[in-house]
Amino acid sequence: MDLELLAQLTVSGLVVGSTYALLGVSFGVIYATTRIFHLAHAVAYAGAAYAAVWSADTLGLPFWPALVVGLVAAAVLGVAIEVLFYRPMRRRNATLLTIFLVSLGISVAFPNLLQLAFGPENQSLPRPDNPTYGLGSVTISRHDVATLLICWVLIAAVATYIARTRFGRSVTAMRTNPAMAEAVGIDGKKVYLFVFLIGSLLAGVAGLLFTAKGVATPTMGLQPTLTGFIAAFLGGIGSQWGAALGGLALGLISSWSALYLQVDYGPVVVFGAMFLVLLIRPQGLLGKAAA
Amino acid sequence: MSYYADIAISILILMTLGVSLNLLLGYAGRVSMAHAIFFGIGGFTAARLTLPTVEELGGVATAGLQTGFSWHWVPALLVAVVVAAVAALVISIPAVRLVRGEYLILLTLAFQLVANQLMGVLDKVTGGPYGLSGIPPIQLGSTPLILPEQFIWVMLAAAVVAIVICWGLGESPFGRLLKGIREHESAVASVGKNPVVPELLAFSISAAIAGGVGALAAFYYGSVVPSNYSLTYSIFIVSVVVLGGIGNLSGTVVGAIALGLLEPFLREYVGDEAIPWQTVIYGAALVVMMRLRPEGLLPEGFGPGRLLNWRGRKAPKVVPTEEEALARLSQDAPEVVTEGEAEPIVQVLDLKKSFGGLKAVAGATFELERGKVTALIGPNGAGKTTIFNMICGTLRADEGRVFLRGEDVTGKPAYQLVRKGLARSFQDVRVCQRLTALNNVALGVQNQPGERVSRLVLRPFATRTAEKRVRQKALDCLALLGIADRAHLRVSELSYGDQKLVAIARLLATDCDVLLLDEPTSGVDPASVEKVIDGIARLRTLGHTVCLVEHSVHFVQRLADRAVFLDQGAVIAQGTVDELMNRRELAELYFGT
Amino acid sequence: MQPILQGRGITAGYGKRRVLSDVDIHVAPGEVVGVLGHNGAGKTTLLKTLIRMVPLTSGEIEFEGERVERVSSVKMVRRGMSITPAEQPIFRDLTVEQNLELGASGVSDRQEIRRRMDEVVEVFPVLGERRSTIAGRFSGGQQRQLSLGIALMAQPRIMLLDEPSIGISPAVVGATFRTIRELAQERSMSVLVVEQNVKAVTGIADRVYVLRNGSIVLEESGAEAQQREVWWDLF
Repeated sequence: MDLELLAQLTVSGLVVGSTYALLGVSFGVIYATTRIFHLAHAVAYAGAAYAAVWSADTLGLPFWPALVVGLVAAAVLGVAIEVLFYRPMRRRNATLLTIFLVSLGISVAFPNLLQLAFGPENQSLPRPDNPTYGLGSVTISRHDVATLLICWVLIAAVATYIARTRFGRSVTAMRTNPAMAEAVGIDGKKVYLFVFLIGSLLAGVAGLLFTAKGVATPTMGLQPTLTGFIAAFLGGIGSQWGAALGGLALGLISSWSALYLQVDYGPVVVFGAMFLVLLIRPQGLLGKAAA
Repeated sequence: MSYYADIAISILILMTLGVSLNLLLGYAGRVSMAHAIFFGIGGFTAARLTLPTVEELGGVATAGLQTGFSWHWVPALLVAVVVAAVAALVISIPAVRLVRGEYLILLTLAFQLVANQLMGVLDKVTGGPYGLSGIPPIQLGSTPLILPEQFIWVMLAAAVVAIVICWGLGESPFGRLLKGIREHESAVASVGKNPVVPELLAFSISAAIAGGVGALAAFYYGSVVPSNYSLTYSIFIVSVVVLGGIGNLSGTVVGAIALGLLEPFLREYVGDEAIPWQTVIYGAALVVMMRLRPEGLLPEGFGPGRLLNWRGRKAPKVVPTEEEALARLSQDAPEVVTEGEAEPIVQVLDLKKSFGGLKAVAGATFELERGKVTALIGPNGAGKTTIFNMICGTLRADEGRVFLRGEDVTGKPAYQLVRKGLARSFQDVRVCQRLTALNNVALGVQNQPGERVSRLVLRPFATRTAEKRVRQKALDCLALLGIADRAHLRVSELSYGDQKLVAIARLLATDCDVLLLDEPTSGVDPASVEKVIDGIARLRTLGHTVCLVEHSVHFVQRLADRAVFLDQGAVIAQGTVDELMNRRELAELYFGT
Repeated sequence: MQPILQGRGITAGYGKRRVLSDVDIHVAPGEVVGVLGHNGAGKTTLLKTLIRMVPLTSGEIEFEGERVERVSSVKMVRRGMSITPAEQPIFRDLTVEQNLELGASGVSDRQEIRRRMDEVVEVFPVLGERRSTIAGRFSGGQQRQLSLGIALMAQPRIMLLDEPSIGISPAVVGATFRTIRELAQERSMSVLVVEQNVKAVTGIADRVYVLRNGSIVLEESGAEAQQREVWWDLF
């Protein structure tokens, strides 16, 4: 086996896996508490990217402020979906299936709205330099290093916040025992708002990380957010570190698969991994078996 | 003319796909996000099989991506159908173990994206991102059907066939079973039916139809391109179903026409931007519809289906009297026990169960006498429900045995117990709200040929006759409990007390001689309680052995011949209810000390 | 005396299922009131209706002199009413301390939370000794104490208790109910406790109701109830 290639693939797998981990956590936080299959999560991802591009192009904002605009957009979009669509439906006791269908409608309409507004072509940000560093035979770019740092700092921050702070614990309370959470007067609406806010922000970060190196396209959100969904289910719903681990594993597996397969087969490997895990361990890698 | 025919063909394709998806979404209540893929699998299979071989194309010069096996279109179509069906079965394997619907969403969503990507990558099979072209058209005799105004008749016929299949299956006893599973999987299992196989079949049939349409579309357009089978198209099909009305095939027809006309219409007005506009519009329509009218344009159960009265909502023409019903039902009922005989039919021997160190049941031993009503009573936490669940096979006992007519049935799953003659009801009724009372009860009838797809297809008339008998029996069961006049109403339209009666009638329809009732009167308003009590008394008249868990001592006193008093998971006393109530120490246990 | 909580003509249920029919009930400040009845009589629904978790079909509810039919359950908790469910009345995955903190969800002042926690620990010393134990590891009796502790953290003026005898051994039932009585007395707090365990409740209650199949069939003083020998005809 080519060890140099393996090392390089491992590094790129770690980088890609970190964004999957971030997306896994972002979806997991929302899904574990609300049980909504939030397909419209892709809106936050693509929305952040387009908002950043737009503020750079039209308003002439420099790189960093443009990213801030992107984050704000992600948060606003995610929270708006909860407040304008999901919440009123829950109030009328809509089934999770109906809520999912609404999510589906949003997720299909939004990229096309982007296309109508910005055109189908690629959009990009004025990027800062992206020098690469060599570690022996392995090279890693500044953007890769930043991706690793940002993803894991954010994942750790969210996991710690939920585990350590009072409000974070009320999120856990809502997830594990909603009846009791209501009994002690935890405001469910606030908790929902919080998980959508945090989840959408993280998805926005992932979208911006991608755009900072690549390009924004209207349909950019779907594939990565779906990988995030898979990561969350793979790791086990309800566990932030599980989702992160699931994402990392997906990144590494699909990267390593390049040793034997064409790059195009990456998603197939991801799907195969999910298929196997769901067959053998339906509750996910770190999930607890259903009682 | 050709222009309109072409539009009509694309609408018919969409309609057929929608109708097939509605079989899954409407009747089985499951979403597939990969319908476009099954459509595509059919297309590629048919294309590869019918494309001319290398030799036919003149040898090496043209050997390459656009060659095939030069099959006739008919076998190619059939193979396309089979391949799509098998693909669906394989994909749903993990979903079998995962009861929750979102896993099927996740699986099909992922499958959609991966398979679509693969279509672009596996160039040896699919011809790569540009797909396959030069697929020969359908030949009828010696005429190739190339023009839209010729092909439209083929597509129309296909749409009619698909509608007839889906409608026939959906409105048949098989469809009833699907709907039952959709609403209460556990309830369907509790009356002895396998809840998994019908869903898989529905998924697979739905995919098979999509595969067939895919093949026809390939023959018509002459090419298959991966980008036509995208997630967007899958979602488009879902939208058609949802807008038209989930569970209503006429709705899907309307939905397909409405959404299918959108694109040509938009092309007139916005030109190249028609596709994104179309997508925005149906996405928005989906959102608006789900928020304002989740049942769709035409709600379930509204449409021509009613006129044909296969499962009609008309009031039964002849409501059997209780005597007639009793006479007919007693033919299938167990032998009535003559007075004085006391013969155990169920024996429970030393059952034990702990939950994480807590002993819920600590060695319970008792018997159910044939033809008698036995009540399990005792304070909260005495282990009544746990014992009940262990007898029914919903909970595995740590130790101990359960015998039914002398045969060891410990730990047998519910559906096997039903075949051996023991069935249960649930405290929270678990009747299917959107089915009629009659159909709920019909679910309980055993050995229905109409619940098997193979029989429906191979012996359509025999299954229809059988269905008549099933419905008669269901009606008799309802009549015996005094609610036959409401047989045609949806359960959601009935009072809670009547719903409990429907659940008991469903149990009666299983022909099991041992019936376990979990809190039959809880939550029932005082006026209806009398009806429930009368109904249970009728079960005894028919010769059934009844065991019930019931907390209201009042009702136990009126219902039960015998009572078994439990405390802390053990049998403390047995006897008639009055005997037990007169014992001071039992009262102390019951009301605390 | 003006009752702290009063319900008139309460009719409620879930969809088609009517669970409570025309129930009249009141609790005076500092009073311990028991609601007895068989399983499924509507006891839990009554508590949930009073704290506004279950919608009313008809009827009125007054809390501290104000009509509260349209108030949310979250607000009811903030206003001084607590409820302890019968099953799973704790957060199993969290520590004892975290459980108690969540009990004071409406309070933001950290010092105040500390102070209340110290008070609760005084009542239930075992909670203090095992602050960082995961609550799911506790025995049934300890979990019950924790659940009462959680309720006390909100400093309610009235506590609604749903079958506190569930999940604890008969030997501990008496002690638990005595603690409830003492708490009520020391803090002049009202308690509305629903139970099937008649003896435990009549031992501590000032007044009892019997609920059968969604309707009140008896109301009498705790002393009278204690004298009653036969209960079968009421259940």
